[in-house]
Amino acid sequence: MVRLLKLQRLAMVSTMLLAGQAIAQTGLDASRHRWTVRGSSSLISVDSRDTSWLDGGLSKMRYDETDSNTVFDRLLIEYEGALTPTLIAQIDADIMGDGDGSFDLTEAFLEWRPVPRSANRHRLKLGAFYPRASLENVGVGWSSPYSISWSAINTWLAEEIRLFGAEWTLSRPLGGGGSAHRLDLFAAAFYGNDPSGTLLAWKGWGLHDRQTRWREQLPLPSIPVLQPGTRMRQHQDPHAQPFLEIDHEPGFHAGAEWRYADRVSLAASRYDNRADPLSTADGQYGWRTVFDHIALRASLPWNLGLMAQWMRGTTAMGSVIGAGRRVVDNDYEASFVMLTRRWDSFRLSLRVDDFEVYDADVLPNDNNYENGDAVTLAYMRKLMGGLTLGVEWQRIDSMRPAREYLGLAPDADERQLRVQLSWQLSNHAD
Amino acid sequence: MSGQALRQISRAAAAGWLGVLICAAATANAATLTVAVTDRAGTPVSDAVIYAVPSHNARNDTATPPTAVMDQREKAFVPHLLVVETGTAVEFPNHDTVGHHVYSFSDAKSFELPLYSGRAHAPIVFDTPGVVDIGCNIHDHMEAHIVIVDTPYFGVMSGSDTAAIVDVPPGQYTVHVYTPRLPPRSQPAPHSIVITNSAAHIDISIEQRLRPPHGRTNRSLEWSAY
Ligand SMILES: [Cu+2]
Repeated sequence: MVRLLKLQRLAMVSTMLLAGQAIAQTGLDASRHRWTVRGSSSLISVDSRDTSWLDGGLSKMRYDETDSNTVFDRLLIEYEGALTPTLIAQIDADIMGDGDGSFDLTEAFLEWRPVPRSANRHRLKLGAFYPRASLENVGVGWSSPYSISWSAINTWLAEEIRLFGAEWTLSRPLGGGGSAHRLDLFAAAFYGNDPSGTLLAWKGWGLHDRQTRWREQLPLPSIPVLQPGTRMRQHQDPHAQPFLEIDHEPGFHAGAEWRYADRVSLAASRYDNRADPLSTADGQYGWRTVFDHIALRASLPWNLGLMAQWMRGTTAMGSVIGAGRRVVDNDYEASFVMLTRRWDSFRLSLRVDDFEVYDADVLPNDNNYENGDAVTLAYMRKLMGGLTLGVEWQRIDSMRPAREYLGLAPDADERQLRVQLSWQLSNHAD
Repeated sequence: MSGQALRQISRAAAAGWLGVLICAAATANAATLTVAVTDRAGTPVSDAVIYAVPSHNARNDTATPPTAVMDQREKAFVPHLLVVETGTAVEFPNHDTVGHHVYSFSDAKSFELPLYSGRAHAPIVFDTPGVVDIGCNIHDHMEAHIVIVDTPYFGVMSGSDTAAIVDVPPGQYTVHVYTPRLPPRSQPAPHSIVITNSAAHIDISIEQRLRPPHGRTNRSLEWSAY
């Protein structure tokens, strides 16, 4: 990955911040047009033999030991505006220290919110957006108020999943007006996202805070099947572009969520990109990626909050070559449980992750098996002047035989201490 | 005698689901009626409206009721529960920087105040008795209830132990309780009371299982939409 020169980066950030400030101070009616600029930088201390996956390695983390101790994580600009009283636009664009230096989109969509005429509430999203799944990423620009690095599941969504289509949601109370029970049904149809699964298979799960942008190309690890001259490389570039449309077939994501007041919620959904695993285009394969997802949230005694997500699925590409499995054919499963508690000005969160990839194909020199777990402890504190301080300790233990292809032991015990300072500027108070 | 003591006496005396205690003390020719609504654990029910309907048409003033206010602050309606007399105009000022889009599809009043800030819209007159559930089309978690009653004698249990209705002229009344924490058809049965020239008090204990109160009891989770 091309890293920006420090000076270049500094100039870019200053320009963006000044532009953001100018935008924030314009006379635009803040009740209709809302701008948020958010910049974050971190002090990091990494203990890992792996190279960052952004540099062709197999680390689960965003930064590795070769990175400088101070890193520029992200500069986000979010616009949220009411084009009409019932048509809302949201655009999130960012630039990152470990990006290609360009300013690109993470999400951009329109949401039509017709005023309900009965207990049935309809919402329709149109554009490029995340599937309705993450419980963690509820902050501005899909950030998390709970921790700096996200769970394996939501990190994967950030890396490889984005829907380019429409999502319809019907929400209604269960059991009569005013009931505290509510049921949401949602269904999305989308194009794009055909190569998603490429990174999960060849790189594995990750736990970090980096979102792939619209046109971004992500490096794949230097494993044998991806070396120049291999058969795989006839159609596969050495990088992944997870959001491309390859076979011109739409995929879907659909599910339901039940919620009881602000006490408990349970959601279940299925994602299927319906990609043709034999199709190729622009140096990418279609990967047929299917998963089931469950998310649980509950308010516990002592003002504790509980969150848990679970995901299980498959991703496969190429023709069927043995035992009914394709050339690259992987099953995967991940879950996490998080306990969080908020005090007046700070929050403490503890998350335990578990993740696995099971390599079901017979392709030689391409062992994508992986098994790991992680513990993340985060302290997030709001300071004055739009500043937020995050302190996070993380330990990720994983076993991945493919590390041997890179001359490393299969087992890795990665640790990281990260102190992040974020500065938010906006033309609205909330 | 404190309201708490009264409630305790009442609870001891009443074996049924509706406990009633009328307590007399000397006042002028209009009385204050206090009502304490408790759940089955004896805890005051924070979201409850109490109104007393005179049995004989006791009203002699036909003046328009004063304008009421349903405020919006920090992405919440204030108050969460508002009771007004039929014919009352209600203002919906938005004190947030973010716009709100207030609406209701209730039978008693269906209306919409398209996305606005400040006081962009004229007050809404609520001319039919009933319950109007209101929401914000931008913030799905925002909700409030306006109870429209055919009497000027009403009060709200809002965080206090009792609701007080002042200046109630002597006569016979039917005292109703409405709480959004019960379905519309399962509200507590009304109770008759004769008001004399003295203060009166009623204890009402709701034995049915109540819905959870509105608002967040646990701040640790962000429940915002996806
Ligand atoms: Cu609102």
